[in-house]
Amino acid sequence: MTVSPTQSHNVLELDSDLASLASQAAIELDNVLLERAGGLSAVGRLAQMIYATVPAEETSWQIHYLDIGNTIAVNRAVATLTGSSTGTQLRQLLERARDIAARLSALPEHEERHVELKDLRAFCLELSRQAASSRRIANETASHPYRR
Amino acid sequence: MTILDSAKQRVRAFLDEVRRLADLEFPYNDSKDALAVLQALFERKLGRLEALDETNDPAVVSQEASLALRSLFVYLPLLGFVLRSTNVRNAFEVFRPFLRLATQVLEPDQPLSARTTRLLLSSEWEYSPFTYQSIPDLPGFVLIGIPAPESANPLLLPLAGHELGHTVWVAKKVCDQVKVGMTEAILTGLTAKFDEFNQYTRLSLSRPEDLVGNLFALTEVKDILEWAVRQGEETFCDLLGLRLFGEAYLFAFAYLLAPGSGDRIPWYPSLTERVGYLVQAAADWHLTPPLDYEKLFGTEVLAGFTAYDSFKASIADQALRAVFPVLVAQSKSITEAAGVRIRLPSEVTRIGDRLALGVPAEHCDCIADIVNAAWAVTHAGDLWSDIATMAGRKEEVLKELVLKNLEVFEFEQLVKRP
Repeated sequence: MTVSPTQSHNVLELDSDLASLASQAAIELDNVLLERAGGLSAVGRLAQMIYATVPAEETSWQIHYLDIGNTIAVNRAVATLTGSSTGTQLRQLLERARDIAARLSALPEHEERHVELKDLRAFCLELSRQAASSRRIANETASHPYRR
Repeated sequence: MTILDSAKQRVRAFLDEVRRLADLEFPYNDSKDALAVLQALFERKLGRLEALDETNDPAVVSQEASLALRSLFVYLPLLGFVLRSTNVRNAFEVFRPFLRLATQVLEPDQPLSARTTRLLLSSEWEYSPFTYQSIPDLPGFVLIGIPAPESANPLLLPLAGHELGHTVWVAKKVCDQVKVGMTEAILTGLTAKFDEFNQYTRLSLSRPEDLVGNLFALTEVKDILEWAVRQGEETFCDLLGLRLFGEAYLFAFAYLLAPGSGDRIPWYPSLTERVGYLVQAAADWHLTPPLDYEKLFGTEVLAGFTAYDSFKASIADQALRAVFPVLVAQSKSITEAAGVRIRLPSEVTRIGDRLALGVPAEHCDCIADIVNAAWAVTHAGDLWSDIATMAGRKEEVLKELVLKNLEVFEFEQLVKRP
């Protein structure tokens, strides 16, 4: 074994999948609300991931390069945040997702607007839930997520 | 006990199990290394849970606990896999030659000493070889499960080549090469059957452009694309297995799957199509499938799926057909870049002659030659009937002989290594 049980690990090391990253971002935002020390590295990484999911420029080809699974998870999380349907058009969703990503990346470490923090925390939580549940392939129910 | 308490306790119990497994004897370090990675992962998870308390928002705690629970579902089967990879029923003779092949394909540009691919081969209690593909937290690990009754059968080694394909699919980003073509084919297919799509989905789209602009339609496109991509992945894995092992892949494939179960799932190509694709690629690569190979396999139906599922599967099938030439080219270029050649008929004959004499062949160049020679001997009819200790035990003796040949091959490779 290359790592001994007693060896210390960075417990705040970030996981890379959308569901885990969004949950860690929610924890960071919660800690800011509790006035606990700690950074917003997961929040920043999540913003980058959302930007990567929604292309900056819309072209007729974007559908081919879109991560549709993550896009739909973002859409559902945005709907939760806004408390209403995001509409049915992809263009509207992309605008809202970019807006959320901008709000996340603009957040200072000592943000005092509690409403904003709570909104973004709710978004991160919902995004984590949606991303976790969308990992399965359509109709596949019994299989292990990484099994082929 | 709170949700947080039980979440922490569950993760601690998992970690205890990891530590118990680490005390086992391991024939190869790769399995032990996998345990070390899993231990580090769950210690991180436990650390994050331990940093939460009753002042945190309950929904935040609940979601982190839920993800930790999800991870237990994901990783506990992998602990079992690690445990079974140490079982003596595995053909350990196969391990190093196959690892050598895997690293050659996955890391062709790295010198031997710098290659980091690690392999877990395990005998499993399901009658289908499988792999755990590119687990995010186990990068560089290739996990291949072989059905227990066949796990010591070296003639089925080509099927591990198919399973290796799943790792190659991700590592070489083959999906990126076909996703655009598949998406286009799906949109073309749905446009051609636009009214049918509207009837099934009741979306009342007014024009085909809405297939990509409307989020509900996009969800349907996503489902079809996922099926098509999975079909593409399976087909690529078949092609890689064929490329790595030549005709031996076709024999092993037929041994395990013919005539088929009769049932199809939409995220797999139908058995008929899989075999058709294999035969087509074999012709391109100057390989010789057995006579009437396709007739060994029966047709399959999508039992238990809706009419709309059948419609979607037919669109996914079209998408696969559209990119099949790309998959053929990819499997060829990846193996060529790795310096893996197709089996050599003269070597297959030479090795087969040695095996028929009841001895392993020396100076082999690749495992594909050895396994193809083994299949040739299998098909050679009666052998060794005049030798009392071997009479009537052809399959059993041949398997042992091939395993011995793989050992000799590995020894020679080690001696050759600078």
